[in-house]
Amino acid sequence: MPAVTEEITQLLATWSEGDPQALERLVPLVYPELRRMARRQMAREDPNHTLQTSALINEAYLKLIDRQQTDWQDRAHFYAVAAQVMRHILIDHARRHLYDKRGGGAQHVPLEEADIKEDGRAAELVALDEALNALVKLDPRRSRIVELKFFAGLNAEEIGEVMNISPSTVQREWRAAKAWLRHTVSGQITSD
Amino acid sequence: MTPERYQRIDQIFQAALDLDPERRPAFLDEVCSDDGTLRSEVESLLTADRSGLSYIDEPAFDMAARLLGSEVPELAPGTRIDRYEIISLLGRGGMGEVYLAHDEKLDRKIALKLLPSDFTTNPDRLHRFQQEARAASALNHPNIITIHEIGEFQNRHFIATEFIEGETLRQRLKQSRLGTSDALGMAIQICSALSAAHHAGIIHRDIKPENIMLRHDGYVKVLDFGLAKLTDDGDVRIDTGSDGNADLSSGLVVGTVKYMSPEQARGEQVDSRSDVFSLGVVLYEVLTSQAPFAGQTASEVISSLRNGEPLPLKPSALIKPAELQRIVNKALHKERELRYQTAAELLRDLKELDQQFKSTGITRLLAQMKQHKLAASLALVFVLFVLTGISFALIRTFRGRRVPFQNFAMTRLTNYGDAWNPAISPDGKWVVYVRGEGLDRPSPKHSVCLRRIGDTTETEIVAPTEGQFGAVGFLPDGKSVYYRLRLPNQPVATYTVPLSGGPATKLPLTTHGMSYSADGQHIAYIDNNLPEGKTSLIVANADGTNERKIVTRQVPSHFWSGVAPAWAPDGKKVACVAQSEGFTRLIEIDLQAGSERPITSQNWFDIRAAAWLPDGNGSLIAAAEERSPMMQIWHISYPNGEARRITSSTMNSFALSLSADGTTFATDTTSAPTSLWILPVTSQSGSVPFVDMTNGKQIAITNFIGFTNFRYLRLSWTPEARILFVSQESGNADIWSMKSDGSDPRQLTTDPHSDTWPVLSPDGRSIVFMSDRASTENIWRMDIDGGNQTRLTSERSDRYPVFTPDGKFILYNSSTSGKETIWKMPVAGGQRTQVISDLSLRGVVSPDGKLLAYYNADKIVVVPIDGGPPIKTFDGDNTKLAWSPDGRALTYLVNRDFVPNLWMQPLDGGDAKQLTNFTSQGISSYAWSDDAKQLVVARTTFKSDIVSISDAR
Repeated sequence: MPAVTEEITQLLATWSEGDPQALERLVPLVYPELRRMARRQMAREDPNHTLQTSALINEAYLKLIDRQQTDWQDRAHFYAVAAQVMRHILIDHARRHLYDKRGGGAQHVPLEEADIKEDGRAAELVALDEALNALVKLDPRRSRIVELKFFAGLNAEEIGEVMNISPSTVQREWRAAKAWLRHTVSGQITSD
Repeated sequence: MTPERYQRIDQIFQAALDLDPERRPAFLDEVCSDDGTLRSEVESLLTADRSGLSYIDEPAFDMAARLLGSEVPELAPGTRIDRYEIISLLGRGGMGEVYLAHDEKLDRKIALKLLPSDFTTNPDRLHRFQQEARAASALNHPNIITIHEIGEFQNRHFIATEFIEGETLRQRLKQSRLGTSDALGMAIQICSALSAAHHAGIIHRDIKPENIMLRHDGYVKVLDFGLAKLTDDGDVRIDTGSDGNADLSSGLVVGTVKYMSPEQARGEQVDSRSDVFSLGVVLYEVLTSQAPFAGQTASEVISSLRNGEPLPLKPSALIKPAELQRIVNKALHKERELRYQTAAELLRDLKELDQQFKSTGITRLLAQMKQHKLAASLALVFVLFVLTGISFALIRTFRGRRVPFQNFAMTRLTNYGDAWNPAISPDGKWVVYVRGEGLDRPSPKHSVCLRRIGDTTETEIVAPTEGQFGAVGFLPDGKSVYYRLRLPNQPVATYTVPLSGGPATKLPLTTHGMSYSADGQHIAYIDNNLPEGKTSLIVANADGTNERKIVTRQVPSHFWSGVAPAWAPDGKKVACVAQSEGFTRLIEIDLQAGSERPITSQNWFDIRAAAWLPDGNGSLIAAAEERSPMMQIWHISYPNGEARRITSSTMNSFALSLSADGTTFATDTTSAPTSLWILPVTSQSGSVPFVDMTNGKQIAITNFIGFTNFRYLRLSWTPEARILFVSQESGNADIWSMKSDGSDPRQLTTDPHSDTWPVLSPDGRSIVFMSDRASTENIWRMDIDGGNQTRLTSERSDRYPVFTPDGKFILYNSSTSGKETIWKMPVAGGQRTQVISDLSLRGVVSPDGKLLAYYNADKIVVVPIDGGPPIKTFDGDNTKLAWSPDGRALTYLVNRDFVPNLWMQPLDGGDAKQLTNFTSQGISSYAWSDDAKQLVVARTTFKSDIVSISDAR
């Protein structure tokens, strides 16, 4: 099983050695796999389900990275990559959803209550994405915690492992990050 | 905002957070005395902290689920529509969803088109549609899809048609261009279908690549005759505004406007000549890969259709031969009087051209033969050879072609659970593989080992190293092995080492996942240009020189670069694993033409390895079906692409390496065996229980369910000291029980669906569990011996049931309110009620029945079960929450270093304490015995060994 994942392992290694471009290269590689699994998961389960994102990513991890070939550092990096990929997938989806609803798509559908609710969710996601873009410039660590927590579904312990900080620090930073994001989303702070 | 300002605000904000709310104003007065803006920023953060960012507490996926949810088909597999049982979604379009279904009565596969409910609400329109569809169903022509039934079931209208295994012309065009001769053949078949329909007075109205199916055997089938009418309110498809321009703001027709005739675009009555025009557009697109009428927007297209001739062709897009260009131009004439007047007329011209095409080929050959008599005699020999070949093939067919590996013998080569990446020598006698030094070591070393099949001696050919191995394989001469290795702090490199021993040398190859052609002269591999998202099939000389790029895909469509291309024995084509639109497919690529074709129409969940059998009649793949996550070895016949499973193991096979004569292959058997352990516990009142790790007793090994479903694992003790657990020993997840010494295992459920999460009733006489056998996940109950299995809940997804201690109610999760919350219902049946209205997951009831603990995002909340505010909340979103047997603490699993261990959180608020200290594997599930003297834990590991499989002829 390892050959298929060798390139990913290699890229993770390159990334951990400090080559930021490796991440850019990882994303297109991991993206289709995560997306496919998400779809498969959706098909199998009710769309209203709380999907366990970390389980999903764990499956991707097992599929993409050979267990025997990696140490936990690689694994930690994988989660960080996966969080970014999840972010891409979800924000992309939300943007497209809003675009379609605003008349960019082929069909105009009358807005119903359910649609408005969905629009709200999509808009929230897009606003969050923008707030995170502002946050990363001011506080990269905090924005990474948000990515791991919200997009990759990792818990405080796991984030602690990935980022090499204590779980209580994660909790504290998470609380502060939420307040800042809310603050930014409500339009009181701009990134510049 | 500057980073300095941010830090300043954040510092004060964090300091204020640590204070009691009533002391914050005074604090802010002090630190922000001279800076009102600073103070208001901090205050706004404090307000934000109080109100929270509600949606961010739910995982992103939950929120996005509704967005993604629109991609979920309306009918789940297993749903019955009249006498048809839905198997899977085939596709969707403006006319509704199309499903693959099974016709129970006639025991055959059919395609079932479910019309959108809002399309059929207008009785007039429905009537017209039914008339049209009935007329179409009377058409009997090899190139028109056969309509079996036009029916109605529970107010939903559907059409059952023959199921066509193949792809739409649109899908085909996305992959590569059709050659002129293929395009001509296809056009003839479509035209022949149109001609027959027109003769019967039926106009198609919507000829486009999406409505043309190409079967793998070359047959073309035209779909959806007359159905376009259903979308019309009359015959006018586009509203024409007062200025004479089409009002396209509704955008309803963007998808098909491209193929519409000018008269159709103008909203006039259409006749058969409109279909001729549409076919002309399709043919034009097939031949030139572009549309005849350029236009960015629908209105531009319409105006081009109404006013203009097709735009002048670019030189590269000229259609050859000139006769074909003339035919296409005539079909595309904007004046219908100057067009082909009937499909039959167009058909005649197409056929004539086709004849010329074929005869030129033969004439040319004959002319050449006259010049070279030797060649002629050789050709004759060749013809005889072909004839002999055909009769031989016929005899073989009549005898029934022998199916490879129908019977096989398996030899186990390793047995220590830590060997992978096998490669077999060309003569089929040796196998090399990577060996680890043990499963439980934190950072084990790995080596490359060699073993002769049937021999017990293992030879180490690469000494143990801390590096990480990639692909391993034999060089074509079978005398050396190559391997890829990443040594610590070094880039990956490919090395070769002779089997006879000797030093390893570096190879100049930078690729992995490569394969050698049958003659050993060439290699093929997938090159990954990641920054540009491109993957390409490359063929090169065996020494890596003379690289040739055959075909390239752009992400998200891509080739799996880790799966080495499989060479066909003739060396002219290879099989590759490609991914597009979320599906994994096995495709063949012609190395000369660069053209692609799917080898089998089946979509796979995953394909990890492929090898072509030396007789060219099929290939082997290591793959998992879309519906089953188990990796097995399959045989795919060639060229008709029938898939047949060879292995049927409860273990996964990811690797596949085939000997040159195709009679033996090496593969791995990988599993996630789980051992159940009983650990003695000593507890003294008021102190933390001591879990005795050294005197644990392993009682059983079972194959737990797949990787994703670890969360559905659950263990339970029965009063007779039996243990309930989940195993997929039977091939799917079922509920089992056994004695706590591991003896007397009994399988309680046998349904082929997943039965998980067993919970024993307090009286010990029945079990509730989760099952997806009714196509949605629901809660079921059964007697303790597995009898009387009945469904308790019927919402779309009900999960994680637990009993109340009096045994009268179950509490469970349901998402019917729009988010996951906890509900309650009487076990005897009756009204269900919502217990918690906030986000709440996997609730557990205290032993005295008074308290309920559950997860809310990153908090554990404890509330009185009869309502009221939380009495405790704890930070943490760890898994597998349970009450300690004395009801004074909660226990859960905490992941550190990706190894889970059991922790205990006293209810009185003291610090959480770690109870177990596993350093590897860890716990995937656990249960306390009622007397608190024992703990059963499930520990899962991953095991991989090497086997060889020989065809038993």
